[in-house]
Amino acid sequence: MTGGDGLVLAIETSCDETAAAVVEGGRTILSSVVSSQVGLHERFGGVVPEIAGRAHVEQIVPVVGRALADAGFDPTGRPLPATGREGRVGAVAATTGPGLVGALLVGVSFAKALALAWDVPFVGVNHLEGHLYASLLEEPGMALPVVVLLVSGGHSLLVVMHGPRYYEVLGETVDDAAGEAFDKVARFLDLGYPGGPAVEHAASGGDSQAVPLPRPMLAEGLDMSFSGLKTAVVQFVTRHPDVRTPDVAAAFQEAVVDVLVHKTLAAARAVGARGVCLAGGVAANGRLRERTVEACEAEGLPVFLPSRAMCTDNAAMIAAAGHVRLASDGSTSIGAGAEPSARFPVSPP
Amino acid sequence: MLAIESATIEVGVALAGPGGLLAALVARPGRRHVETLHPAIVAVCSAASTPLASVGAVCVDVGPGLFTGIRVGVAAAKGVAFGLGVPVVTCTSLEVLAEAAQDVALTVVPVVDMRRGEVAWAAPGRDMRLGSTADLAADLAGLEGEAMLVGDGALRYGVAIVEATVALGGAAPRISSEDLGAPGVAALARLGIRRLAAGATTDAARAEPCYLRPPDARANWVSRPAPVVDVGARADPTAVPW
Ligand SMILES: [Zn+2]
Repeated sequence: MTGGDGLVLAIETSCDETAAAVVEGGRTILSSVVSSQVGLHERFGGVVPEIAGRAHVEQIVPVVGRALADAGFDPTGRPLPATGREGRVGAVAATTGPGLVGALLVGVSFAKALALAWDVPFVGVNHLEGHLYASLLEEPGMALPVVVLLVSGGHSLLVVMHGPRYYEVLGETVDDAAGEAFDKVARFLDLGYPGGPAVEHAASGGDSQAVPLPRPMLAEGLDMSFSGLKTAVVQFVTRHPDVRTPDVAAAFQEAVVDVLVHKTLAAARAVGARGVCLAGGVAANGRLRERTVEACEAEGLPVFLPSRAMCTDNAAMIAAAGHVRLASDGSTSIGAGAEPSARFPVSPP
Repeated sequence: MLAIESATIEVGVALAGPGGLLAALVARPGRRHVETLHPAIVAVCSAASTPLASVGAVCVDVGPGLFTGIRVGVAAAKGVAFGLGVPVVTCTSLEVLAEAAQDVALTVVPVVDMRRGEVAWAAPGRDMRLGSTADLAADLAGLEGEAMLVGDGALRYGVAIVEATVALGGAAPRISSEDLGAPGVAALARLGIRRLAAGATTDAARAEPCYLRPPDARANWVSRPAPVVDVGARADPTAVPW
């Protein structure tokens, strides 16, 4: 168990963001620092693993130091005198996967070493499980079961959360993740990187009806597919070279959002969910947020949209998930490694 | 002082003081550096009956060498040093290799295998270099006296380096035995203790790996393997591999 007031320091380095946070009792965010490498990867149109790994090594100490200081702690995990606090940080959590192996290793190695130096438990956290806790951090009163649409550059999952650490995966992408499709279409249309915000920005001046695009696998269960949609964009633009880019962006975004909203509502109905929430970087997309709210309201289903900062990768969600994991499973072995292709953890009730 | 050596396929951890080694452990984990290093730190502290919290400095081999191993080692050194508020002593793998060969009477040239046909080396009194075995031979041909090459690059490319050096009119260098093939944690600790005594330290934030090579700039699609797409492929959609 954690010492003090259940103060957990968490470190997240699964992709291109170096993040650290201190969370109290799994609920109260005392600090959350995110250092993005987006500028380093921009000219490659995607995340470059070796560049990400190097940047994490450079950023980890300043980011963790800042998260501790913002929360009122010194680098040894003890409260700064001015805070009047007593308890010290009682555990160090880190994302073990899924993610880029060279990026994950930096966070895991640093976090385990820091836990040894402080003589506190280390706890390894699944990044996807972390995303679920992003919503719970901001809306702790959510009625369960809740269906979570987790959409990011690496993942597209529909998960039902019955209780802490009790989840079921209802559907997932059979090919590209939704965010990956945004990145690739943005690159094809020369809209820039990262693709999500770039497509959304371009789409704001476009007419989604102007370009007919398919809605892949719409009536086929709860799994999703985005690879064919991206190919359809390429084919349409090739045949109609004069098409307006904003129209293509708007039509593509609308098609992705149609599929995501349709599947999410179908999942909620299938499990009798008492609420719906969004998670992951793509959940910051304004059109997806708008349409999800509309659709849930039409069915009288409570919906929760995390703040944009909680949608994208951060360490507060890892701290919250780590807190729960520590209470249920205890600490993780100091011999734990990175699990770059970890799946969503499904545990029995 | 805690010493961390993980720049090759070996992982070594030692605790050392001004009087020498208190405990040391060496493992060959293959590529499982992060799984091996931290339990080794625990084991070495327990063998030396010394709590990690009493460590006054952390010394780490920053490479050049295996990128993954170096990053795991440097990140761990940063974690311990930051968490205890103690300084970091950095040594390059070439310095550690030369330190391990301190009893060799010849001119010692450490050579690290950098893969892709390249090696990193440092002739005495000169800067570290990265290049082909032919570049190394050109350097060796210009050396005074007889040289002894140590390190995994010397073991792997020894014959080619000797032949190329002789072809350039230089004296054939000697190739060390296998025991000088990897930077050892005992040599790292010895070198680290001397540097610490001389005040040559840095801090957890500033300690950085020595890669010697710019990063491979190949974009990846986050967590699933996917083909690399050329930027500017719009003109010819058939060229888009997705
Ligand atoms: Zn994420």
